[in-house]
Amino acid sequence: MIFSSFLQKIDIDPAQWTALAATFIKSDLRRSIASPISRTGKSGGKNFYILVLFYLLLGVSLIPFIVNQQDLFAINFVLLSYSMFVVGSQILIEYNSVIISPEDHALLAYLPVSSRTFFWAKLCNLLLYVLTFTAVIALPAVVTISILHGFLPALATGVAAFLSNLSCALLVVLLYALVLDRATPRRLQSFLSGFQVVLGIGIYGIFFALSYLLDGAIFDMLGSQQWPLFLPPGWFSSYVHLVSGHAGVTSWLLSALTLIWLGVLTRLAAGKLSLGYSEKLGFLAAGSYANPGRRTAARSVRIINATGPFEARVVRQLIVSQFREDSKFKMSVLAILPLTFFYFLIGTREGPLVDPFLSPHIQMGRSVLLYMLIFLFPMMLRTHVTHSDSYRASWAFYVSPIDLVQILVAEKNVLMRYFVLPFLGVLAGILWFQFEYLTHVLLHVLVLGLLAHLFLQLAFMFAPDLPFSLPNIKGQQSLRLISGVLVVLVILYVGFPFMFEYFYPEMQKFVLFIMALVILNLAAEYILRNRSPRFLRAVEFAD
Amino acid sequence: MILLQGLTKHFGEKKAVDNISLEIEPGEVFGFLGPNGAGKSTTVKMLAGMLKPTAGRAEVAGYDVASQPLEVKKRIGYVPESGALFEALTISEHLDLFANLHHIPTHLANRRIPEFLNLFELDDVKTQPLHSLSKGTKQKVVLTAALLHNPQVLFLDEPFNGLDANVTLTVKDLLRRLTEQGKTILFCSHILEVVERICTRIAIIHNGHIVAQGTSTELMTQTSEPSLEQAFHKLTVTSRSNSLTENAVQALGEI
Repeated sequence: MIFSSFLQKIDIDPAQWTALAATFIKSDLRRSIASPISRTGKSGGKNFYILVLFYLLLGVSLIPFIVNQQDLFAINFVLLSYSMFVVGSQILIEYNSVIISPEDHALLAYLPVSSRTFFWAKLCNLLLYVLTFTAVIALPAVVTISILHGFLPALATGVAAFLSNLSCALLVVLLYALVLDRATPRRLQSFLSGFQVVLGIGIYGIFFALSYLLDGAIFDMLGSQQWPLFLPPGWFSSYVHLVSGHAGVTSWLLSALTLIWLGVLTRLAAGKLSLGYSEKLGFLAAGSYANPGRRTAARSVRIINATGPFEARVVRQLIVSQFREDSKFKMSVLAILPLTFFYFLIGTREGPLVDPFLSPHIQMGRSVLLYMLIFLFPMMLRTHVTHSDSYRASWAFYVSPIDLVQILVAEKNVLMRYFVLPFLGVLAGILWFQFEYLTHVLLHVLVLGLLAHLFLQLAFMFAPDLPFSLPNIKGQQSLRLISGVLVVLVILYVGFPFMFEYFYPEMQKFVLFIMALVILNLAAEYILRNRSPRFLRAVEFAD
Repeated sequence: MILLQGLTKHFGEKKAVDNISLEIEPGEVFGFLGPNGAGKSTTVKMLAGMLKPTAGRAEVAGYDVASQPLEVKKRIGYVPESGALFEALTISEHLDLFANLHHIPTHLANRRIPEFLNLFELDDVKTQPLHSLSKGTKQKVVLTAALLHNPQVLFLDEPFNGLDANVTLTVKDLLRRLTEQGKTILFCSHILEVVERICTRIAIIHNGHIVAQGTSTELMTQTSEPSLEQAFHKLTVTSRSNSLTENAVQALGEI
């Protein structure tokens, strides 16, 4: 009752707010937890829990830092930077489904819902989203702090984590909305694509900077340096000083600054988390602003002139066209670039890569990131290539007289040819400068290429998803990526040292290894191409 | 009840609706016909407050759609062509949502929702999520959601999409009774036979312009054609269409 009166006072319709907030939350939960649109008919319930478990493990990974450090401000600064990065990148990966959906406009625009009511219902949804991720990331830290430093510092840390993550989420919302507001319709798509890359560079850049800092004496630095006070994680970290009982003027000012910061962000977001914004996204998704004109004609010519097997043409054309017209797909693909760039940087930070032919006992260290890219890059692309808002259009595959397995094979080949091979070329270029012998470079890149291809083949066998045939479900893309990363990490930390130690030093063993890899590639290709009933059963249209 | 004055909508350089003027009286079932992409749905979306007009104005139930959108939305029921629904919700949840969004008192909602569930034989599936239901069943839910708050004006954009013959009859009967109560209906459809049978007046839109309006008899007289179908064809199809059809058929014969 009191809450309803409060909502009415701030011009929000309580009945509508409750109904909408409940609907948004129900829809999200059912999509991510009970995943109704499951190609194989299996419950997606596990997906959500695995994602939560993964973020919980990320939070646990910070415990050693917290135990070894007495400075609560420094602990908070690291924890908040870390969780803000995770929440920011989570929103970046999930993009439209997290912030606002283009469908909102079609569903609600003709109903008597004021923009204020819609905003606060959407904000409630965003709050819950941020709260969930904050809880799982920050919980291990908060529990550790409560054991080591007491209840109040733990509470301050929890509140700071939630509010800082919320500010991060709102900032991402605002930056996107700002772009939508400023760009002219015609240039909106290309502008947003560029913006996605810039935002990605910003977020991953912060992570990159943090990885440097965590290496060194960050805690000592934070004790004596003032620069963290100029960053949002530093502002929110000042809460722990307030509960310690000896907060200075700076801590009070910074705490006040966080409230102002949140207030300003909320106020600015109020005009942006709107149905109008949803409408613009809808137009973008539908490509309504695209000017077909000359380009369509040019495209038609290309379709007719296309060569190669029909399935390969279909997949190639589809991916190219979607990249050109589907801004969400384009942005998802472009967002991979900054990640790739920073993995390169971090991977080569400890100096040049060691030639495994000359030094077989290699400690993987940070170079693992560089190798990880070979697997991660096509895997991320595959995730984006299979998920689309236009997934229902994939009925076309099922009613056309084409071999679905050939479509899968073509999809794999397009990823290999247009993305993995160029990447291996760049890697070969880098290794050429770092290894002494060109033959070592070529042989090493050959092994990596065969492994990457095998990895892709296995990915297509176990998840035979046709191009743009799966809906974008909140959390699902992140989960696929995380699951993939875990598999890749096992390969890299267990398989690679073994491979370098046992196969690289002796030519005979190495040749046998290469032959084994080739045979494995051929066998995987044979199984993939020969319509194993198990794989085909899973490939069916599910609207 | 519905008034359009020079209503215009541009998408970039494309003029989807260009300077349309119309007046629809209370209790009328007004048919809005046009080929694909003619501007029917865009016009209805502007009237329902989903799109902002580029120029001109429109009034629904005495309220301006641009300056008083909430007042308009309280008085309209809308069946979108897309049939968009919150797919993760069950039928009951979706209808409860609409009841809340329209401020229908609980006792009324509890009376109306079961009646519509009965009418459309949705009782057995009311606890099933919408994504698991057929297109026709979803369309019944869309129709129910549009009628639940007893709106003065109904915008029906292809309302018979996916419905079987029996349900179509039920809906036609329902619409007839609603118009007897004085409700105004703007009806967009490609099914000319249905439009001819239930609409009091018809407007034909082509390339964003209204090219003819009147009763079906008036349209036939204006075009000197014996049926509405042929009148529609004459007004909306270019004279080249026959030769284009011939070319296409010939192309099919080529090896």
